[in-house]
Amino acid sequence: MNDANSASSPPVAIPGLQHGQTATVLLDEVSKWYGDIVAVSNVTFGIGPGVTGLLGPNGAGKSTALNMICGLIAPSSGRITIDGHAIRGRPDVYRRLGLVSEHETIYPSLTGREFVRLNARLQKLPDVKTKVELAIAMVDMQAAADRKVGEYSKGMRQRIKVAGALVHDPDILLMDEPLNGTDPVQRAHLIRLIRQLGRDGKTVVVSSHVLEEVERFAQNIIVMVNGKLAAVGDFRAIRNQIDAHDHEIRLRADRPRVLAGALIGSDAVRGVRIDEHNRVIADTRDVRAFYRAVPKLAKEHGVRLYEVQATDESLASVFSYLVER
Amino acid sequence: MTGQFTITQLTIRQFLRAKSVLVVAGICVIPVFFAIILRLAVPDPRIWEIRDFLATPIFVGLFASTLLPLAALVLSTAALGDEIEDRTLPYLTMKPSSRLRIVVEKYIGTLLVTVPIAWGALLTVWLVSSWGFLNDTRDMILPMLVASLAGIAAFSALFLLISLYSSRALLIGIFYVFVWESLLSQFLPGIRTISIRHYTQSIFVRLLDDPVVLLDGASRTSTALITVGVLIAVTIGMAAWRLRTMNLQ
Repeated sequence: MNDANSASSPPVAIPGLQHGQTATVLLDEVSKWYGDIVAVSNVTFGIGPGVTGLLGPNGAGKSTALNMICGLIAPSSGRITIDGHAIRGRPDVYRRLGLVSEHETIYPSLTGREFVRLNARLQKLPDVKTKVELAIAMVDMQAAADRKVGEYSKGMRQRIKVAGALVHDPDILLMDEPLNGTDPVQRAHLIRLIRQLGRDGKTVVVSSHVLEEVERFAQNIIVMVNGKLAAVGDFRAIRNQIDAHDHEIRLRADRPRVLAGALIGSDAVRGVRIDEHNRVIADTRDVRAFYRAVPKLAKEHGVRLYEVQATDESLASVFSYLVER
Repeated sequence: MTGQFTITQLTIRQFLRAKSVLVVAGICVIPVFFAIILRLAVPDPRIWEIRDFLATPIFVGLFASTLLPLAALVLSTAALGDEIEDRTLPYLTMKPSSRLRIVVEKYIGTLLVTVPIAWGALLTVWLVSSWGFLNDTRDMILPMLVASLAGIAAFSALFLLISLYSSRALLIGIFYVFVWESLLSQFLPGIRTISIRHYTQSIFVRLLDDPVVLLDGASRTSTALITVGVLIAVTIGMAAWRLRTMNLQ
């Protein structure tokens, strides 16, 4: 694992790249500030082919970094290149680049198929019909493709955005929290798709604030906290350090008090409380054991789980710990 | 959506499904009510009264000076402004198309919706006002259509540019229409030469060439058309530059 503070001397060792690996995307001492607010602070890292997870709590600067990489916003200082070339002012680069934005808005009056077709036409693709159908099939949206996007659930909107970003078969795909709002089946499908794209040799960057999510598709991760690079490198090495820190996990269930009672007896749990929204908040030092134990306990006690997720405060604390090391 | 002008088609579709197109139609249709009132109040008008009514209070006084810029304002500020507000603009900018093309296609889409509405309203006003005297006022149609096209084209380009600089383009535009175009350019002769309204009115008056219809300091048709053309080219170019350099999130 490269420590962000100790490995910032390109081109000898660029954080995020293995020795000799060429960066598809390179951020070189990049900062972005809005008045007095620093969104991204002097980060340097490279991203090569495969899936890279961009991890950090909300407000860490992940979206700003992605938006700078795809040229939507200009860095206040530093340089961002794709295959050695600056992206802003070069629309031809977008033939190779796709973005799944964090924003939900898609033209509500278009159907899913029309939205993907719009992207295909703007990419000036030959054989638009075939490409559109292929992209829709990749996200398993054939059945709903002729419904208006405005009628879609959040998960369906995410998937059709992915189809729109994939329709031109880009080499580089940037995805900002693509699993937000997806149900478990949709999530599993998207994760399989992300992994497949990585195996196909594409450069895929997926941002997320959920550690367990990133673990399922990315070997390499970049951790950002408060606009700074906290850690870059192999997921397992970073994960081991993160897991050694206390976590606060939020659980939603149909019978929260029964679940809380069951958790108290677990070795992985240090403390349990129920918050004002009737959610169970559990403290754990061994987060892996906790995640293994929860489904078993829920099943044993007949509790239906709706959500198991680290709280934002907990994530911020864990990620900050990485920066402070 | 087929063909080359995908963004234009998208823009037209967005407008036709939005309430703003009804607002534009509502603005443009106002003179029709005045025409109906005229014909009810004066059942047997003289030809010159109809011509003067159509030219002076309706086109020069109301349509060219206030209604036409307001109609252009509503759609041209929405063309790119709504995309920025809804955060859908990256779907267009993150494509291998120049920013100039995006702006031009948006602009054309705006014109293709605004112009037919304005022309439809003008033809209705003409029809209602001139009922029974259609042959005697037919020569007024072309000047009205050409002048309104020039006015809409110029105002739309200007407001489209403003929408890329401010999220309050509609308010700025309303202020511009009522203070600059309707008030200052009317009373301060120096401002007249930098008023779109003045060139719109000049094109109408010059093309009509009716001794009864006069405009103080009217510019020549060629001067007005060239000025409008230059204004459109400059503002569209500036809009493309702005779209290239602005931050989108």
